[in-house]
Amino acid sequence: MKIKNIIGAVLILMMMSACKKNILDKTPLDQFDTQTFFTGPTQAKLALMGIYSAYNDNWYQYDFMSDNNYCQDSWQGSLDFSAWQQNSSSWRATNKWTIAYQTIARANTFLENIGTVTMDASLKNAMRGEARMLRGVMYADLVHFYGDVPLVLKTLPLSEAAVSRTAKQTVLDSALADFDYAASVLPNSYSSTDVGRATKGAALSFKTRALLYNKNWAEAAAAAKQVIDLGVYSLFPDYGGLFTEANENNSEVIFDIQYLENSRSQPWPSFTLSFVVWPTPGVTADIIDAYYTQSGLPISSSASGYNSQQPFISRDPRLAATFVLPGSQFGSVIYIPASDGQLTGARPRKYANIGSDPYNVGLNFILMRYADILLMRAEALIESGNTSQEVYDLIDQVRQRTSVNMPKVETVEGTGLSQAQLRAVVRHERRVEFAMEATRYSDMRRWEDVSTVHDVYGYVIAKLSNPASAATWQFEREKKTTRVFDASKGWLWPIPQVELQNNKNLTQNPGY
Amino acid sequence: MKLNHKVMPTAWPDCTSIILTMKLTAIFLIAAFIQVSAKSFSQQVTIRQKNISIEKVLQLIEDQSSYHFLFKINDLSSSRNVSLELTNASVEQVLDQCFKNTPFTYKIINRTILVKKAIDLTDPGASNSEVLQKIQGVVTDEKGIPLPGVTIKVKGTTTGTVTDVNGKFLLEIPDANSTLIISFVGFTSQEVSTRGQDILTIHLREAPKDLSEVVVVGYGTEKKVNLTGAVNTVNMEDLGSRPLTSSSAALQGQVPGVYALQASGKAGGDGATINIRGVGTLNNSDPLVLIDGLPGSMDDVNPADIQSFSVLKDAASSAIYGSRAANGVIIVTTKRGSNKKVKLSYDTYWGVQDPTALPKTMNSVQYATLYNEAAINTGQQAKYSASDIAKYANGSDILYPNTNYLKVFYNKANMQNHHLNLSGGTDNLNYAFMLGYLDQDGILVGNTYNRYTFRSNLDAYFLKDNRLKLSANIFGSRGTTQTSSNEWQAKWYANNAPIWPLKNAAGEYVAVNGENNYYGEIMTGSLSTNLKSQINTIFGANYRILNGLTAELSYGYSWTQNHGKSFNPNFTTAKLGGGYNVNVANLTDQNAQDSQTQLTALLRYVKNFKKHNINLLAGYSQEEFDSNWVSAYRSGFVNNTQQEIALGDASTQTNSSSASALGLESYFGRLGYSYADKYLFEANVRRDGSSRFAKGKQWGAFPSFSAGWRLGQEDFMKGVSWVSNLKIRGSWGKLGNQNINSRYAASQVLSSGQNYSLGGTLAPGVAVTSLANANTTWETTTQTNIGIDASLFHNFTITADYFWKYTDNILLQVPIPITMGAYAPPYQNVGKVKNQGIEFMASYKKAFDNQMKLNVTMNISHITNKVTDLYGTSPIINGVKALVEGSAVNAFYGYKVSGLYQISDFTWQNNSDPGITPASRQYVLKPGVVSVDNYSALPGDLKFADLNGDGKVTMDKDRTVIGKQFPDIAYSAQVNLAWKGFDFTLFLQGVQGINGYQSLEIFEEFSGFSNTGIWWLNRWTPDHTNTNIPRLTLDDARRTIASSYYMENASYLRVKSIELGYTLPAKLLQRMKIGNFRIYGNVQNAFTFTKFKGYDPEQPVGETRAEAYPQTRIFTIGANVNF
Repeated sequence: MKIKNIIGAVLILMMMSACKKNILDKTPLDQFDTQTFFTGPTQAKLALMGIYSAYNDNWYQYDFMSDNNYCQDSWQGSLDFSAWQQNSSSWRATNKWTIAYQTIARANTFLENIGTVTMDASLKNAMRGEARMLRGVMYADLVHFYGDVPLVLKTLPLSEAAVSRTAKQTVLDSALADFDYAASVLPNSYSSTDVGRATKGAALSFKTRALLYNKNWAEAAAAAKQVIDLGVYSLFPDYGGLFTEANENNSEVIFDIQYLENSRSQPWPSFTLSFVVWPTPGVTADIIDAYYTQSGLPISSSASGYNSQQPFISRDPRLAATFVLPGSQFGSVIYIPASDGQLTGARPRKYANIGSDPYNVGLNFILMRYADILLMRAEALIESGNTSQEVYDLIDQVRQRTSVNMPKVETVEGTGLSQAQLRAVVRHERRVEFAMEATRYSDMRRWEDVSTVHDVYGYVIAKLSNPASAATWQFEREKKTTRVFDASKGWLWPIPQVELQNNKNLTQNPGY
Repeated sequence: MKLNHKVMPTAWPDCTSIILTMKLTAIFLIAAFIQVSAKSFSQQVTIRQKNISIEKVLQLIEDQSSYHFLFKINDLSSSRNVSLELTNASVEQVLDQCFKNTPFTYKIINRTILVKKAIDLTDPGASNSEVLQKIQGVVTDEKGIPLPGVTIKVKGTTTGTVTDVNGKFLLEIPDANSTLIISFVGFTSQEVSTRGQDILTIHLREAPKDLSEVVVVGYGTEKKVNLTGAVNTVNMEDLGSRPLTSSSAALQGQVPGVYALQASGKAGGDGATINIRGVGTLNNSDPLVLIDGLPGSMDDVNPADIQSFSVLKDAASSAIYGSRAANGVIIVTTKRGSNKKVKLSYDTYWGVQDPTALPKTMNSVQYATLYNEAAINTGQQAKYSASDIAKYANGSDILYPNTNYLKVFYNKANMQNHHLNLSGGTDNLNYAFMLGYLDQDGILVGNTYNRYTFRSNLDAYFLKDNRLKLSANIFGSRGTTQTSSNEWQAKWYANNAPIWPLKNAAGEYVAVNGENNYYGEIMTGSLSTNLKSQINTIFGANYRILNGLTAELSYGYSWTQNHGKSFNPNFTTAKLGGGYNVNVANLTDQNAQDSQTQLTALLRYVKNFKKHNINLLAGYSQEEFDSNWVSAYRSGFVNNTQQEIALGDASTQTNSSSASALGLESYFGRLGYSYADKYLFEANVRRDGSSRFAKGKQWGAFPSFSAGWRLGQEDFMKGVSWVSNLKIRGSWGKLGNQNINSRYAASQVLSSGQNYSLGGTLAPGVAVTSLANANTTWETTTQTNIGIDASLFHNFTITADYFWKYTDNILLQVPIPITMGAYAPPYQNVGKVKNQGIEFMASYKKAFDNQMKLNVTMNISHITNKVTDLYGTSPIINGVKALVEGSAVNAFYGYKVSGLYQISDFTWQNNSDPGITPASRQYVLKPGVVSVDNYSALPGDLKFADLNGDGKVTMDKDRTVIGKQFPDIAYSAQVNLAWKGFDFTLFLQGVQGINGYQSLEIFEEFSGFSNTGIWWLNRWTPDHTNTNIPRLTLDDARRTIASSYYMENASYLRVKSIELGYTLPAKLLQRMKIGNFRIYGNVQNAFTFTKFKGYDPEQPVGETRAEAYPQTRIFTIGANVNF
């Protein structure tokens, strides 16, 4: 009996010790509780960086959808757009929408919680400014691609998930208000450890772009002027060097997406542009031919000095800086189209990585640079009917960058050009200056220029096998694939199918 | 051996007449008697002992001879001790000396020695006024083979005897008109009247085996005949000696309604995914697996350690595990010791594996020729010139090879397995120690696995009547899996086109498609090693408080560590166009630890009175799970041999970690009641709490009820001689599930790792990435089961079940609009799934006169699985799979192919002038012919069904369910044949009505740099239009559309195992002191009958590319030895 009691006591003791703590009370161990997180500036900055991290697109792929480039692999998500055969299930339409609303929601969460944080008031407002600028960039981008979109400015409960589309102008006004607030609180620049955060110049620049994209010419020109007048930015002398890791955050960069090898490298499939893997992005003959010769004349002009069998001699230096052309050197390799298997016979050089791990690229992608401000102001002035010398000067600044040094507009085209003539000049200048920088596709769409959507041409690569002899090194163009503008879809992207499915209050754009 | 005359009387404490005992083994093991009768009787006995009891003498005689004793217990215990000094004496000599000067005498009847008081034998009448009559008899089985050890009792008395080795008995009966009850384990008891008979011949009929079978159920055991739920038990010894490396694979085809999918032949990764009665949830549908009571994974047990496993399928049998049991329960019982003599067994096999099936692909000439055709069809130039193709045909240029990469990456591989089991015990301690070692090479290059396992199961008994039992189970294992650092890439590169050179003339590995050469990288040192170490312990105490009342307490602790290292070597490949790709070595070192504790307290009460049988159980259990993981990365290693983080370039380092915890708490109870073993009833209830849910939503209660009626026991069935057992049963119950991916789905959190970089420095960030829902609670499965068990004609047993299983309040991550913030959607209790099915199992056993034994078992199940409610979000599309209301879970989704576009569907220039060659035609679809939204169709392209009839096939309107991943019918059959020393086993297993989606590599023409299936030779061309394979193209807009074109029939019938064994004759072995020695040969996955064109049709759920690690065909030879 004694033993029985001891056993009983032991059992009861074990049970009691086991029941002492409530084992059903478990809180997250490796994540922060939203309710208690926002306390001081450190936490505020963590949440702020969370907004930046969401803005992470496959930037260079926007040119694959333009007349600058052609990517034959559907898995990279631009082929259907590039063929004008996108539909509402197209990956990229969903991806852009997702990036935008993720960034917006993070900004909204930040703005809702920053109020209770104990910190310096002006720093707090500057942080608000950063969040609002990023939100503004997203909304400006959304209306540009999708037209009317839901305007969400707070964290929504599940019961209010089914939002409707808001008129484009209302969304745009919200974005402009965000830019204005940001410009009023943000600093002109940061010390080195904070380089890359949104500045006053960035807010004004994105405001300029939003206004320009929406044909608000006068205001766009004024906003661009504000950026120029800040006196913070200047053109970087070395055009090709502008896009290298060594020259990141240079004087021309107004806003870029910052990447870092190993810990925050470019998103998959960043290796697309790498020279060592996947010969997929094909530079079109169209963009190669678009560069003038050093005379400042198009190759179609007999006075240009263009030689079709030595096509890259004496061309605008930006051509060779932007593309790996047949027979040119890239790293240690001479590029031979016939042995590369690349469809069009030329590859991008801008943003392409040499040598390092193609899956681990730390090169920043510039979303806004000073040359763009100059050309945007020029375009805004032209479109508002101003054809004064300032327009020439703005364009000439870009053309006469130290390493480019193309003749002035006046020198080649003459002075007193009409609005239409100047419009053509600035549009051409945008194309060659910003090739492979994700702006061409947007330019095509905002200019609604159907002539830019046409079949893809490239070199016959089999005839580019050995530069040593003329017989094995012939430049012959051929059609690579068909590209036809679909007028029924127009210039707007489809609202993602998955979104229509999960939100019955959304409507689709015409043609989808 | 031990004489049991001290134990036996307790069974009949009121014994007054002759109680006869003998060797326990003789009573229970017929086999032992067959052996005994086979050997020549040893007559010689040596005893040199002073002052020993007569009992001891008799025991020594039994040990040394083949005699056994029958005696009157009271007499012997009162006898005085004797001293003997005899060498090689006859039994009679010993006995004479032993009984000299005692009141005892003896009589030898065959090999039985009857010991009695002298007076009883000489003059029965002298001590008993009753006139005793003698009756003799022989007891045999149905075929006339004598049965030794059969108990003969005189009805209404305690008088009785047992038969001798020849099945004979001699019994004194009180009067000539007595009734004898003849009973024997494994046989149906029989009553015989002695009236008018002197010599009886009794034929006992073999009882259906399962009548006495006991199965393991939740927190206890139950006689199989008394089960009211749907439970199946598999004894591992019935599986033969299949080379099972994973315990989960042992379930395949064994239990109707259980679908075990062994998705891979990977060494160290060939476990099966198990679904019991369909997929009952949209979350993790793995059943709860309990290993000796502790939750775990089937594959954490060495299959050779397992005694048996029970599968609890319906709600009633699994309800005692309520919250965890919605997907069914598997109870694994490992081998334990018993108080018999020490037994040492050794099992081993050696085998060689090769792939069961590899897709048939093109050679270089075919590939290059058809590639050119595809390029031209796409508007491009031909890629391979005539001289290139001639070089491929010639084969002498190393850069123009014809390499079958499947054969480069998949090869024959060896394996060996060893298992030692030492078990035994005394009255107070039982033990079993097991040691296992498996060494297996994978068929995929770079893959190896080895595993050491150790298990110790101890049971110790203490106190009076062994009231207290303490047990300790300890299990340890250490398994090392090696693959190349990226197994997926190895499987992917195995599909490479034959035209890619492996090496150039300089002996350098050549970059495939300018990218990499994965085979070369593996050969250079690409290595991923995972070391899994595990310790599981369970300590238990079981104390019998009163007769029928028992308290149990057990504590289990399990600890698992997975230490993974993945190393990509420094590796250089030559590019075909010149130059090199240089990969710099990097290493990822990860360490994951999982621990789990479980405390269970049980109180049981069993009471039998009259014909009532009551069985009560109350219990409490709490469980805690802790997981953490750390990972470190560096690149820039200077050599390929020293793979340690510290040797990498510190400037490249990154690291990460995670941690989480989970708690579960439960109270449960069971009431079992049966009347006269005929009417059976059981009720269970369990109340569970889970830390996964927010306060107020944590607890759920899950009841179940079941009942059975053993019709076979009713008097009105007595006359139906061909039915020996018949039971109908039914059950209903509710079960819970909380097993979702997140342990904190109810807490709104900011996730770390949302980092940015500023000016070249990492700027850490946090953000909300998934939405929490504090309203989530248990999902519930309600299951109803009706079943029937029958034993017919003494040879057949049949079990059939029908069930309905409804899961509702499924914790589903219903998609939410992206505009919410692109969050991972919160869990909501919204989805509904229905499973309904029928299961049938039959077995036939027969022993033939020529000693041949036949045993045939087959089972078949048909289960329909359907998503019934998705809260208005159907279809939820995920790639080529979708959740669609009214269709099976995760069905394949896409366009339905209705044929190919033919030339007649188009018009072209000059009013369709046939003189224009096909290549120069500008085709325009005729009005009324369905067009495709994704591309401008041309003759030979796939034509899809226009489901909404708008004349145009569009992604948003014309996709539908095109196939399903779970079979309509799963079936299996096993045949065992034994004859003399030979045994033969054939095991067939198959599924019917299941699809596989196979796209990209091999199935799509010229995908990436992969080869293309040989069936593409039958593609559409203008001259060959009568085919269902479209024209070749390189256009992704055409090739990559999800459609039924890529659906494959994945039904198969497989000869899963063939085994032939031979057991050496006992006579031969006895001289070598070996108890049993069997050798065998086995072929696993011997043949597969299927229409599937890819790798093995049995591939991972959700696999949509031709990249599965194929199953292996394994040839083994092995031996089982017992000492």
